[in-house]
Amino acid sequence: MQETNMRLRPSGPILWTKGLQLKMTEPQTDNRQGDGKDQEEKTISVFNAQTGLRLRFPFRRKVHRLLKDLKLDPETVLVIQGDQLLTQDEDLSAEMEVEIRPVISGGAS
Amino acid sequence: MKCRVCRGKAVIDLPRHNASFCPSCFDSYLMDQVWKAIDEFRMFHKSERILIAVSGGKDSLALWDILNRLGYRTIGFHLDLGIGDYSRESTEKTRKFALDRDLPLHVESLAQEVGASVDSIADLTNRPPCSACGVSKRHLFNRAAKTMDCQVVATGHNLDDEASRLLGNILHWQDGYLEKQNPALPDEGSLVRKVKPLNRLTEKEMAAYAFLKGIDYVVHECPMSVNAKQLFYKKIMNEIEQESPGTKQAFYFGFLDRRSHFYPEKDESPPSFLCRECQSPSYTEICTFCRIRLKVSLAGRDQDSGTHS
Repeated sequence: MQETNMRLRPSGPILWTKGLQLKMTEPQTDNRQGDGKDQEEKTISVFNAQTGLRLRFPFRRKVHRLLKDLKLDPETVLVIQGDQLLTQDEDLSAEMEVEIRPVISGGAS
Repeated sequence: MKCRVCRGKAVIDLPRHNASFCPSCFDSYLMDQVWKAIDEFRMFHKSERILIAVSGGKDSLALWDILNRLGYRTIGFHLDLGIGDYSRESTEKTRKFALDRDLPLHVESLAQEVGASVDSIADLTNRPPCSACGVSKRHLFNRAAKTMDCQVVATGHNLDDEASRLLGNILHWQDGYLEKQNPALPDEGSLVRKVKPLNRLTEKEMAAYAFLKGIDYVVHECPMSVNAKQLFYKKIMNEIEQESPGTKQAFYFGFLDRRSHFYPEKDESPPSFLCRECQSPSYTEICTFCRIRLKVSLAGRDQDSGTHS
């Protein structure tokens, strides 16, 4: 199922959050997920709550693997699936969208 | 991952404490940290009225929620900065938060006070937007506190804010700022006490608290702060923290422990002037806020005369 405002696998670097200039690049194929073709094509919808950007990425079972692909520091984001806050070692469900919510705010102090 | 306290399912891991918590134990941990900050720095007591500076972001709304839960007498103060959709959303979420919890909220508009929004003020005064915003907030928070008979102003600055600010101040040896970097600044003349009860908690912990409590806050970053230096310092601090968990708090708390050694307490006299324009305490004849206001007003007049000529 393809959502209307969703692109499949970005072809180049993406500005993930403007302020922090965190960029994510094309994810590497993870052989630990299995060698089968079906598994390689499994994707997950990722929503950035700060930019409103919604993209599909190769599915990673563990939260920390997804964050590594996205080149995100776990201290700078909340990872939410459904109404659950997820820790680093938790399993993701490929069927549900995962929300990445950046936590950094800044400016005058 | 299991909760360190009850062995239930954890929802947050805190490498700096080598701990994970379930929602309930995380709540106890967080409330305890706020309580420790209030107690250690003698920020305020139950009989005082606290003005909470509420932006609509996670930290200030969570702070308001926490102090309300702890039974303090609070009044929210929100300053509409006039930054397009961002400010509209901020004001809307702040109002809804107060309304849902039946908490008193006072809203003022920067455009009404100064005659321009933050971006216009920055343009007209050649200041970075964050500087113009900071000066205006400090002035208007203090004025609101006095008007509403509050003895203290509380802001939602967290550990990340304070550690990154400390890094910036040290990198440029800003002695004046370092001397004043304290989570509780005492009242001075007609300047009310200023406190930061979230100084022991990280940005991620505050975001997790807001999420778990169902607080609807503005997730978007302020468009004016995109290139703010403070964000860069936060990024550096987070990179260090990732390599060596606990460094951020060791850096900041270590400074607070040694602050009086480097900057001994002085019997400082309050600002000697009263601003000619607004009668607020000032180190110069006209305070910084009124200088900004006058510049904006003059620029407006110049523009008007240019249009009519």
